[in-house]
Amino acid sequence: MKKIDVTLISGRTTQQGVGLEEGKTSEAYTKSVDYIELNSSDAEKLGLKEEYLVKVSNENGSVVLKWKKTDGLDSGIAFIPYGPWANQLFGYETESTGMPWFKGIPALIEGESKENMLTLQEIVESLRSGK
Amino acid sequence: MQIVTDIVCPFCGCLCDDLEATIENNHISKIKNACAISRSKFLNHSKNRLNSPTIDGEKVSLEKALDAAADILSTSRRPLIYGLSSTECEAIGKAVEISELTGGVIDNTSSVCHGPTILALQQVGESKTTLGEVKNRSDLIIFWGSNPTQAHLRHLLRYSGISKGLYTSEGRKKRFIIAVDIRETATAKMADQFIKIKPNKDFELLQALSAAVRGYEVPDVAGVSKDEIMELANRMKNAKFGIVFFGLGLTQSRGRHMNIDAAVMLVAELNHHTKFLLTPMRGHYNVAGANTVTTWQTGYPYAVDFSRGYPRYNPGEYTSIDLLAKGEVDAALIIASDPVSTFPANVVRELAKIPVITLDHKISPTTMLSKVALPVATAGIEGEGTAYRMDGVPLRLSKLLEPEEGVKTDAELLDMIIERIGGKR
Amino acid sequence: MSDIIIKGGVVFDPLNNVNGELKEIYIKEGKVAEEFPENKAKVIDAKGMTVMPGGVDLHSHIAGSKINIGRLMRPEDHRKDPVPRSINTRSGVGYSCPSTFVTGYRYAQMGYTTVMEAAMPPLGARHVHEELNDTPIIDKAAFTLFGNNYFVLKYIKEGDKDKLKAFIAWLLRATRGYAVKIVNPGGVEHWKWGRNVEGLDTPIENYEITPREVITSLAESNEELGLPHTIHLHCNNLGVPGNYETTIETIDTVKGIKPKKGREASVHIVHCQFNALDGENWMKLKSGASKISKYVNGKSHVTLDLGQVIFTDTTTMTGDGPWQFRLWELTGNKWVNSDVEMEAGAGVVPYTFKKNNPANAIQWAIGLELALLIKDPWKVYMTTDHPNGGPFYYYPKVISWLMSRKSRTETMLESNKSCIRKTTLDGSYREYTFNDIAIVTRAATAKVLGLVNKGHLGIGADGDVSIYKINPKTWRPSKFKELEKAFSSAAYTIKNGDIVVKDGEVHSTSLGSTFWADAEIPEGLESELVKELEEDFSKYYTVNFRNYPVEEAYLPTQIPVEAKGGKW
Repeated sequence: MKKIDVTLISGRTTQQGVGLEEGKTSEAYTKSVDYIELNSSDAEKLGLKEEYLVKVSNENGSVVLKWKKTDGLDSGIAFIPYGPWANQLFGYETESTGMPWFKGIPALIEGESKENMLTLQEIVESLRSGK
Repeated sequence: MQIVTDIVCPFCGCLCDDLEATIENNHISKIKNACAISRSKFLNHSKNRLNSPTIDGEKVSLEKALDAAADILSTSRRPLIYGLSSTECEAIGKAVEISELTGGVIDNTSSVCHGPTILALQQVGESKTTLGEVKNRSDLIIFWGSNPTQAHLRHLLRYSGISKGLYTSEGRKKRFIIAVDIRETATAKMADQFIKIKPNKDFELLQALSAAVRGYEVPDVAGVSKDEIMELANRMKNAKFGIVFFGLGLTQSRGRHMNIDAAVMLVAELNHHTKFLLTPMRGHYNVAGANTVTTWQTGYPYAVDFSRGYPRYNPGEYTSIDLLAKGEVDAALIIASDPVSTFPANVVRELAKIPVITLDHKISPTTMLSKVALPVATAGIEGEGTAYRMDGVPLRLSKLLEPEEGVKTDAELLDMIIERIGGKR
Repeated sequence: MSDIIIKGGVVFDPLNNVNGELKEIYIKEGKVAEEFPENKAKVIDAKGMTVMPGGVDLHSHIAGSKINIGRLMRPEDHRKDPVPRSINTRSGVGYSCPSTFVTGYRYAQMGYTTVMEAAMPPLGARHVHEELNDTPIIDKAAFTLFGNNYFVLKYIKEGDKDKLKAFIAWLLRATRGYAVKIVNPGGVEHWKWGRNVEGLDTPIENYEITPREVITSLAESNEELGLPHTIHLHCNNLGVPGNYETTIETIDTVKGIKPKKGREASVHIVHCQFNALDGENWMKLKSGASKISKYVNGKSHVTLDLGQVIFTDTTTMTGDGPWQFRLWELTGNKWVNSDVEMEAGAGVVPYTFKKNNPANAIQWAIGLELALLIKDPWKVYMTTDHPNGGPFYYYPKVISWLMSRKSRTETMLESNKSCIRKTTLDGSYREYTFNDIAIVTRAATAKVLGLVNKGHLGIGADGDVSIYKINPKTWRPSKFKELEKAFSSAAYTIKNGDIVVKDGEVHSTSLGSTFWADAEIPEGLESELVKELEEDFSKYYTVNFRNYPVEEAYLPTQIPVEAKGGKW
């Protein structure tokens, strides 16, 4: 399994805004937050094909998601729209500021994950049960 | 059929107030002047609504749900009251009252958004303005760690880059727009200059700029060449009216409030040379209101603890993430927010361990995880009230439609909870 | 609201010429009334106590974006003074930037029943009213900022007097404001480009008019509209040593304006201490108070308030953006600037007045000098420009300095000798009487504000009374500590016939009323004005014209005060 280290950021997108206003349980919302954006050379390094899922992990947790190619991102930087998938990777440490470190944390991406991507319902259940 | 004009949009900190809605049969059929996200809010307002009060997912009467909520709050030793950025000011005041009555903690979404900006203000200040001055006078606009083309869609049109005003009749032509970001966003693409910065190095670059503004020589910093830094410093000094709009790129990366501190000091320094300001790009349409109301009622903007009977403030201790991570609250009342979607997962796991009461208009991961969920009228569409724009300008939200039968506003529900708690404590 | 009879107190009611008389006060249905039989009335035994109308503070910063920025900025200030909740009261914080509930309680605890918010930017009017609605007990009003407003400058430039008057009336109604407030006219407009004005005759960029013209035009319009209060003016050059000259020139420039019928004054100068500085620079500072007092003693068209300095850590906040920037430069303290499009500006900077600081000691003396050298107490009012000079809870201290030479000498001796060498304070043996205090904290302020039912205890007045545990017949100025204690904590504060405070404790917290000035505009003129405003709004403001005026929902208890006799 090919792997690369990246610096991960999350943030807002228009689609995410449109989707959340329809409702968090809508398809539009899920579609707007269930993927990671990668630079094309990084996608190549990972040997990714369009239909592949990727697994992203770091000390805080891991998540399996779809992926998209984006120009504008340098190699080594990845972006996940702000939401329940992205939040599997951020931690509770705020260094006494109250604010977790949401932008610029390290993460590992593995290509062609065989695991399934969780649905929103499944994420909620896993959070409820503490897993 | 009715056409209503001058509607205030309840989505983001832009708080645009020029929307026009066509209302037919208590339903919004058309909306004008709305950005894509706003359009979604107005036209989809009836989709995915919380249909009924529930306890553990089971439908119950409103009275039963309120009794359960009041019971949880009055028997808890230290409840957390959180959210508030997507509802109106009267409700926020009631949330403060509940926190005081229960000896709990009140916090709002600025905790995970522009809280660091407030921390910086409390350290060094802030030189700001309402948005009309930007429209009327600016010739240099810098978006730092902010991407309005994706998050504040009409900002450029109404207030900044493209707007035309009193001394800026030529609009975009006579403005120089710079985007500072770690990636080339759509904002960066439309800017006159894109300065790409290495992740987590904003503090260093801001300090270098301050030094350059004072006439010191600087090296390459944060992936930006010293020539680019000197050029930017000079451009800032020679602007007639410059402004930095900054976003979560500064508040959420390494350094947090120190990044803003550095930006504030840079702008203060520039005031020796010319007119320069900075303004945070507030996310939700009334997060500024949440801070404003909490401040005038308690003295503090967020993370306010009432366990001793008077307000105490300590970000890092009374902020929601920290309280939940350390298991220091035993119940939660979430109002107009979805922390299950927005908090780090291992914090949400802690939230899931305590009884949660949520007031929201739509189904969300938070309502799904709640012990008690209460549907509310959508503020700004089904309920009136005040909201504060990102620059502090207060506007009145409209009531365009009647909510569904039996559905109350946040303020009404909170009042009913207060009545029930008042008797129990 | 019950019937109340106050018996045996020593009453001071200067507006009705009652000066320390043993007299009964009767309150029925919330108003001062004729004598009635005791029956079911609540009788207050005020034997040996001082009875005055409820206090009327005509200049304080208690509601709106400026004071809220102060609160936001100063968590360290709040920690000095946390206020726990009680059976009747909400919790909050005090010291220099008190939270709204605490503001109402503490004013009432000192016997004040009416307070004016000194500066309201029109675009932030909703914010001011929301905070006033969360300020319990006291009656209140807010003064709308006019001096750097685009439309004001435009109409003065065009020489259109009628439109200027119409705009003033319109904006007061749109903001539910009470008076015309002017701050550093021209200077705040210049600050929008990072500059200031130097004095009354600096041409205002893009308008070709001067601050002098702004002041005289607004003063003239104010009087012709018959507004209840005169213009409320924060002069140019605040904080600049030597500025007493600007202040005298400013007062002089409106001497020819004909005041409306029933009053002699055409201008009120605010926190005069900050504008009464003499000397070339801060190092060579001396007092300009005697020069100003000499001028004011010879004139009847001006009133002023002190802006008294208290030696404490406080928070400065004014609509004078460039001055606040200057204060940041002088002190290095944290600085928030807050410009408001098309209208106004503001700045907030924490500041500590220190006894051993020669400049601060002179400033402290200046406030008292003005009070003692100006002979007529009907012209000069007691304020600290809360919180600029110091928090309003120090009013009793100011009272003790005014009423007791011993008290102020004690403070003088603790302070830098500059207050003795560079001012005339040490040479003043005048001591204010109880009657004088009643004038400068209630009677005169209510009168100059045009609040006809406040500040006195005549029949029909609002039932607002304060009773202090101090006997004017036996008190001596040497007992100034006792005096301070008495004025800090009212034995009784009665508001609209309700006992709201007893022995310094708050008993009832209903919401007071908000006053605003209701001036008439001829119909045709109003529609013309509105058309012009709408056009400029759409071009230059970032809010729609229809969303600008404050909605009724923000004024649950309002009292419009009709401006009578408008001349068109």
